[in-house]
Amino acid sequence: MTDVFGAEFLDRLHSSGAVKNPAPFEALRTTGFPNRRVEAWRYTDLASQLSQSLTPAGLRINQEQSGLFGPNPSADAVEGDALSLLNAAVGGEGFLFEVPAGAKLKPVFARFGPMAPNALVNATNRISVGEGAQAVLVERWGQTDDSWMNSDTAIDVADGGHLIRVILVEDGGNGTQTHRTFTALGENARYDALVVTLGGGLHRIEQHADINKPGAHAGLSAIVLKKGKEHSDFVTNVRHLAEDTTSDQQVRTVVDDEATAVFQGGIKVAQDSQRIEGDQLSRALMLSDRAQAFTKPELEIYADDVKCSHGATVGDLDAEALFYMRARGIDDAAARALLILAFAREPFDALDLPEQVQTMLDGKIQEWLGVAGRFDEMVL
Amino acid sequence: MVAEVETIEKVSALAEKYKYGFVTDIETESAPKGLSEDIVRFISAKKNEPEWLLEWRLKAYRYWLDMEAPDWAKLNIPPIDYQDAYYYSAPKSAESRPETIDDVDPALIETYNKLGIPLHEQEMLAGVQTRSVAVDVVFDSVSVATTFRDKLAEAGVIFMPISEAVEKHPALVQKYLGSVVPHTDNYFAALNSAVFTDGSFVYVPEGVTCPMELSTYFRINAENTGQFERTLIIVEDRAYVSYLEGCTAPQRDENQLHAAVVELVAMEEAEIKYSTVQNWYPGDENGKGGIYNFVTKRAKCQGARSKVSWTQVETGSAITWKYPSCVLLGEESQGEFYSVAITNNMQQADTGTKMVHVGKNSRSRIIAKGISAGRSDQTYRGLVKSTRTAKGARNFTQCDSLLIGDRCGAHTVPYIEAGNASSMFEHEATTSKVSDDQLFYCRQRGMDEEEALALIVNGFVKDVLQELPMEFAVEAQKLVAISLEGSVG
Repeated sequence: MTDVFGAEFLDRLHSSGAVKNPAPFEALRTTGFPNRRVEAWRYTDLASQLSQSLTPAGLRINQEQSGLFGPNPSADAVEGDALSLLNAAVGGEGFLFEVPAGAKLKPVFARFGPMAPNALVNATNRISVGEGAQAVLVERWGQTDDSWMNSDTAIDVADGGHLIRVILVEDGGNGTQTHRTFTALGENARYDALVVTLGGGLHRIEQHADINKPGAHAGLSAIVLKKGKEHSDFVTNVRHLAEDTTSDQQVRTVVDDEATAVFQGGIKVAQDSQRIEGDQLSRALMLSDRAQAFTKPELEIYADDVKCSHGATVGDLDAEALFYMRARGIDDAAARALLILAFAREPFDALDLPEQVQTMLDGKIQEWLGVAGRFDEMVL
Repeated sequence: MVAEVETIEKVSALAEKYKYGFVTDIETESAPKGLSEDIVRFISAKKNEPEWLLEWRLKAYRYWLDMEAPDWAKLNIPPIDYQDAYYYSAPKSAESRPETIDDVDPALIETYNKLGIPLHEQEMLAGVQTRSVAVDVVFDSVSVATTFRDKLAEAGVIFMPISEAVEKHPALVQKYLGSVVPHTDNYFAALNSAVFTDGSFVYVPEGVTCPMELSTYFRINAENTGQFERTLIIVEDRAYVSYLEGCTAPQRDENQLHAAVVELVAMEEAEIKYSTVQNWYPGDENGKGGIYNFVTKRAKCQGARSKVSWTQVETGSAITWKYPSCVLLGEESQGEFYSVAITNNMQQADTGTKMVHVGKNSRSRIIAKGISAGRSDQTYRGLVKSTRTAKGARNFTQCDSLLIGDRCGAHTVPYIEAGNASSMFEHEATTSKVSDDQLFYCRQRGMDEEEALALIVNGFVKDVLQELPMEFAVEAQKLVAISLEGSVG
């Protein structure tokens, strides 16, 4: 018998005594980790992650307001793939964020990590938004060199609830971040997610949303900014399981140097889900000839009364727009920065982001561009 | 009672829909059933092939034995028993290889007349058609006739069955066979390389514009027989050819396998226009019978500014697995793919294209229109890729799907892989149903529902049909209407 992919990693994990739940561990031992022959992983290779010797560690939560977060008592395994099994095997404890019915919260900020180098952090989180409640949650996931943070988050938004969730995977360190979210939506519920991934070694962020009830909406957007040898894989999977539902995906990617950015987007419409609107637009800017951008926007439709579309573009900065700005006295670096910033923040329009959150994200993008604090002076 | 009569009427109406479903009763000679090295040797011997070709086949066969059928397509393919089919079947009368059309078995001539393929050159010259088309007709495993050969030879164009080309132009065949689709490429290409029987060979020398359209008509007739044709088209510098392929098969309850390989090579500034009207028997409305159409088609745009254009109208086959592709090696080479795929009843299709940009400033364009009706499932699957060397590569892709009825599926899986910053790729796709407003508008003007639908669908696919050679565009339009019969109401 040949060893499954990542067998040695699992052996090390087992001998470190980190395995708390044998059933998912045995399941993982049988299947192994997904290699690149697995369609969903064709662009992302976990080989170097699995060659690491990591020390299991707990999730460190730094919440900026108190009282809303608690430990997640029900670390039920979710329907994910091998990485969810890994999480379940280690029994990673996570957070619980509950919004009571009818509550309207001010933006909530929470930081996770950073952790010790060479740490393997697993977390199973739960977010629950009550009927008619409204919340904006900003999660900032910190990086550390050679660490691996792996999480599953289950979200349910009850009837009429609305959750805006920003996941900011911060720059700094070459760590690995693999996060999966599984969302279920009630009647007229809304879930708007914006993933912003900056820097890091390997990031794979998956957003799965089941739209189970009429009138619900899922927005799964991302801003992906990568340079150096960074690798990002953003995966969406929207399933329209009820009629009269809508979804929207806006993905903007900027890749420089030798970075790789992947977007695998999915819209699925079940047979009896009529009157569906699903939109998806992914655009990638390539700033270097050694960068790579892979896009795979997928539609799978079994109902006929649908309007689904997707668009994808890959290209360099618009030469005409650059020329226009140069002609108006803006120097090349500023013009480029301005165009990239405008491009990257396009997904903001689809979200009703509080100003405070927008300003914070703007700052992060400008930092990434290396123009933070100088931007106004450069352009004006 | 009334309902029962209606059902009977409906069923018989459906059965008549596929007008090419008849069987020609003709004496045939077949290889023993099954697949083995002996069968490969048998086919090779039947065709008096040189040693190198037999070795090539055997190498492919041995390679195939270790392969697994691809399962990544969104297709539900029942297991295929490769031992339960004949790999060679030929009309006895073709044994002697008729020299002129007059020597061809009248039963065969009659078959092709019935299919609307005229084999008599004089008829066409004297007839209403002003442009003539040279036709190579392949009946099961052999080519039975090729028209206008003399006229083409005058221009220096070689157009003949590939088995004849192996004898008469061995150097050309040996040089290019498998150069675009090697036997290691995929499961069905390996199988084809081992057991291919006939197909067309075209060679257009430097600077020659082929004086007429070339066409091959494939017909599967014998029962339990797979058809494995192999087409090879080589167009030298600054030459041009337009080639059309058509196909039909009798109506049967068993599934039959068709696994073809088509290889195109375009040199500097050469242009190949390859059109397909695929109308294999699609099976009945419950998905019984029909052809499995597992085809590998690929073009190598080798020379600078070479151009290959694929146009396909796919209406037949129970299952289609087909991705005509272009490898754009030459600088400023161009690839085009225009496709209309229609699936009805229980048909399944997973089809699309691959455009691989290697040469600088190479360009490609993809227009794919899919129509799903009944309980069918259809997937557009495409790849647009640029390597680091393909500076300035440019692609535009548009793929639209139309759904008719709420029991069918339409899926889109495009892969976009950009390997350098100066590549510019644009992709847009939509999925929707026939709009009620449009239907209402047509109905209001006195059209019945099926006419209205045919009109709307023809409008939807117009961009693609206009890429077809004129005579075939008209045919294709009718085919679109026929394929959708019974899909409304």
